[in-house]
Amino acid sequence: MLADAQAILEEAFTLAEKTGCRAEAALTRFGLARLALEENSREVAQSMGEESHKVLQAIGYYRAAEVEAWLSSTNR
Amino acid sequence: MTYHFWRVDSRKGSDCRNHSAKHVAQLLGNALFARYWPHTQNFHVGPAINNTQNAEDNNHNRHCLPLHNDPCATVGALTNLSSLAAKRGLYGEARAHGVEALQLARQMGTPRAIATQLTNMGAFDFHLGNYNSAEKFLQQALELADQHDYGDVVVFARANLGEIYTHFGQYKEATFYLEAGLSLARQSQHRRAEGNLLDLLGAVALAQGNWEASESCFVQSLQIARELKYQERLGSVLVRQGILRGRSGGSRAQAIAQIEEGMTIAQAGGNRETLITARLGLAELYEIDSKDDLSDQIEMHLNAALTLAREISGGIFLMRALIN
Repeated sequence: MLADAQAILEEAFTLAEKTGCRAEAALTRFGLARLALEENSREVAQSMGEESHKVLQAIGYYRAAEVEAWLSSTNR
Repeated sequence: MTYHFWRVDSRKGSDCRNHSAKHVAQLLGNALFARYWPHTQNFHVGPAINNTQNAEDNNHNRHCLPLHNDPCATVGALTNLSSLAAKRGLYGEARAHGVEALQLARQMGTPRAIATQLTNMGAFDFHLGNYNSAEKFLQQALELADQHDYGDVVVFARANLGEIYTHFGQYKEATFYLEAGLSLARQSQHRRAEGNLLDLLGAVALAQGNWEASESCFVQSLQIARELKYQERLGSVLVRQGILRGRSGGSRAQAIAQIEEGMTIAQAGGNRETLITARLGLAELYEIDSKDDLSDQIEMHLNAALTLAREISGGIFLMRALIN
């Protein structure tokens, strides 16, 4: 199940990168970060989450705050 | 998601003085062609067509192409072919006709025809997910249209550029182009374009979480869509406004009902892009509404959105469906 989700998100990420859609690329990273956390890869999750947050905040996307909150919760 | 596409409008330029739209339509004996030529207009993607009339029109256009040594009529026929292909969601085919039409328009050296074809190419590439290429075509179209004061082309090039910059996450640029387009649409009293631009501006505000600005744009766009009985836009705005109301803390039940209303309109008009947005929106709102176990409904909507998105193109809709 997690592997399926990862494959889908990676397909989305490739598309987002290819087409230059920054919000979608960042949201995909966020999805991958959450998956990484479920697989207990805390460092990877943190790093991906931070990258996602950086982009979402830079472009002014409304979910930036949600990613920031998630990052704070994973740091606890 | 909207799609702006142009048909050649020979009334507004001097490109085809000897071949009025009516004349070309008579030459081609094509009722559909005659119906479409009188107005340059944007439109949404239509349904996958199993429609005999359109198939006949298509064959007729194809059949007529080699009979004409008239480049102007040929550009018109190619434009019609590409628009029919686009209505079926066959953007690759539409683009191929568009390339030919653009080449011919350049040979003719007529700025309006070139600007129009550049706008169309931008629209096809937009739908194929080739946003960088779409941006280049549209910037060229805008430059040319600005030089020659083709206000109608300028409005739609700006609308398309605004939409592309929204996808790039460049909201300032998107807003700049959309507001400039809106201002011109209002000056020229192009109500349909005004409604489209307001919908797009609402979407930019929605992405940024500016709920009030978004609501204001959607309300105005909705009013215009109802006034013009413009069903495609009505469906699109109802869906986006429903999503906005769900996200911004309004009544979830009302938001869902509104999205479903927009979805019904989109279904009737075969507007797959609005259908995808609606299904993703419903899944999002069901997910927020975690009081009941709605996982079956969420899964159903997400799967349907993904299937539709895979059918239409490799662009933004597939990405959104995958992400959700």
